[in-house]
Amino acid sequence: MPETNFTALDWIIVGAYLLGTVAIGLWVNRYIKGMGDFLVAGRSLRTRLGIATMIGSELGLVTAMFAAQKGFASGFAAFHIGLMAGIATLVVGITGFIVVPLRRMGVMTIPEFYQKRFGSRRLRIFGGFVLAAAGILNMGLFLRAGGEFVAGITGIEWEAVKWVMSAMILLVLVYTALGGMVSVVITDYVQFVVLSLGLLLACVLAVVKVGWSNLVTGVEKIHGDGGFDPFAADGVGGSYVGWMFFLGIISCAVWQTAVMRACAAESVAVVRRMYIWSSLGFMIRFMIPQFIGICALVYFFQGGNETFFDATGTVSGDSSVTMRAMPVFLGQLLPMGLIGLVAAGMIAAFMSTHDTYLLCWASVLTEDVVNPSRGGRMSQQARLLLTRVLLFVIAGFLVIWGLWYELGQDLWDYMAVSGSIYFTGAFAILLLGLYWKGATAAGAFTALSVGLLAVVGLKPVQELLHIADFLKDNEIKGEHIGLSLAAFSLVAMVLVSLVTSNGCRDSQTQEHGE
Amino acid sequence: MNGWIFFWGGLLLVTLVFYSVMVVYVSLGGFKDIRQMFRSLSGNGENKPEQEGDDESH
Repeated sequence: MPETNFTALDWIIVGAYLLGTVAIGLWVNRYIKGMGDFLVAGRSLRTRLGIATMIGSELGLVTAMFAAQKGFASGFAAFHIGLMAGIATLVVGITGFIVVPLRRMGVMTIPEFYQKRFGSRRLRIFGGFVLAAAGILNMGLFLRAGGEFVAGITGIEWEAVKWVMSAMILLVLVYTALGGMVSVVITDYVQFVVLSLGLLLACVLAVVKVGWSNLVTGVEKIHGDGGFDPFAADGVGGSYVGWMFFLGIISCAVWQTAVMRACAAESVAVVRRMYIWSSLGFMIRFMIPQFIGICALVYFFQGGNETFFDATGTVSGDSSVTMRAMPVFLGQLLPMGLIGLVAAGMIAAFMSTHDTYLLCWASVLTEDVVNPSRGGRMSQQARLLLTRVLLFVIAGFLVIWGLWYELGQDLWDYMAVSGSIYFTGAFAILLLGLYWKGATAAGAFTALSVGLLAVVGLKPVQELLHIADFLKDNEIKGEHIGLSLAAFSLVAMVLVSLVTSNGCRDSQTQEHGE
Repeated sequence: MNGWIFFWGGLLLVTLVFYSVMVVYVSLGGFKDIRQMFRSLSGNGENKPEQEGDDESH
């Protein structure tokens, strides 16, 4: 059991926060009158609340965990991930790339765009299924990461952690099922405030504790030049940096949870402002936890901690071990009271990520798979009920998946690869569907199908197909697979669209578009 | 390597300062937006104040 400053007072702070969150869910239920209120809060988000909820849902506990793990494993070189994400979001905000035309079309989900743009209900159903499946797989390890955080910062045993995490998921389900997007927005806002203040304070305390010059010399001793230069770092390099920029575009403009925020915005002008301001948040959501991870690296290295390093002093290659470094460090760094506040903020972040993602995937399955399959004849009440039932079904799956899946790779890399099952194809469809009149439904089907091949980026799949050694010997990594498939999806969609284009191309675009 | 150290250190400092300012701005303004959202959801949207310069409303 790790040493920690977590006390009964900190448990009280955490408990009070959790109860407050459920109370909000119960209270806002009175405002939910239909599917529009439930899914996109009646499209009433304004700029500052939009920024808070966007950063709130993206600056989650899981993000903090994998970012800190990257900082611990790669040193300052890991900062390139945040930098690429920030630049990508700023570019999207300034140009309105993808998100502005989507907001203008008034869609609530990306598969809905597929149908409006290509006039194909089957494409919407297929796209919705791929999106939800990849999304649920992508959040499959959120519970594990959350559990590692709670265990590390509070010092409680893993068996007890399982119960704590299950209780938290139940709380998330209660307030999300009741309040939908409205309660998600409120809890995101509270989490944004609490966690931002907690993390900023933790950064200051960490620098005071370890010392800046000590950090620099420590990272140099452990990682050498690769601890600072991302192009020289082990496991990073030019293609990885390019992959991070692409993921930056994806996570703000193609990933459904971020697009939902754009769709919920009051106007196109609000969408642009949200993205421009949030670019800083998209950068900081990586950089602050990475920095704490770097502080943990030097702190434990100089303290002679053997848990996180092998006998030669190199960082442990076991990703589940390095993931624990940040919470254990915070447990020893922060004083009583403040540690409760940071833990509450982090747990709030965990809950807000879950509420956003659960609501997102449940609504995609309802709106884009089940309802279109039944000819769009489901009543609003039936759709609301189904979405609420699906919230519970998905949560049940996550509890089981999170317990038995063997990580085998960094959490961030797992998430990038599992997400790419959807977004490699979706990126091609959005890009070509929005900006090229010649794109056809057959081309879109092809792009989605090509994107499915990204599943080979997952370690267990590689082992199942007996290609793990081949990929390792030829130094083919997740980023190579993801970038190649993104390019291949684009090319395949163009080629198939050209072949299947028949002159009366997509009259639906004009009919349903702007 | 020194170039990278200065670059990352400077970037970290600048983003932390900007982020701190943004947290204050968004925290205070977001609270007002929440009240506005509830008014809008209650069907009192017609009492909305000025639209923050949203000249491109859909």
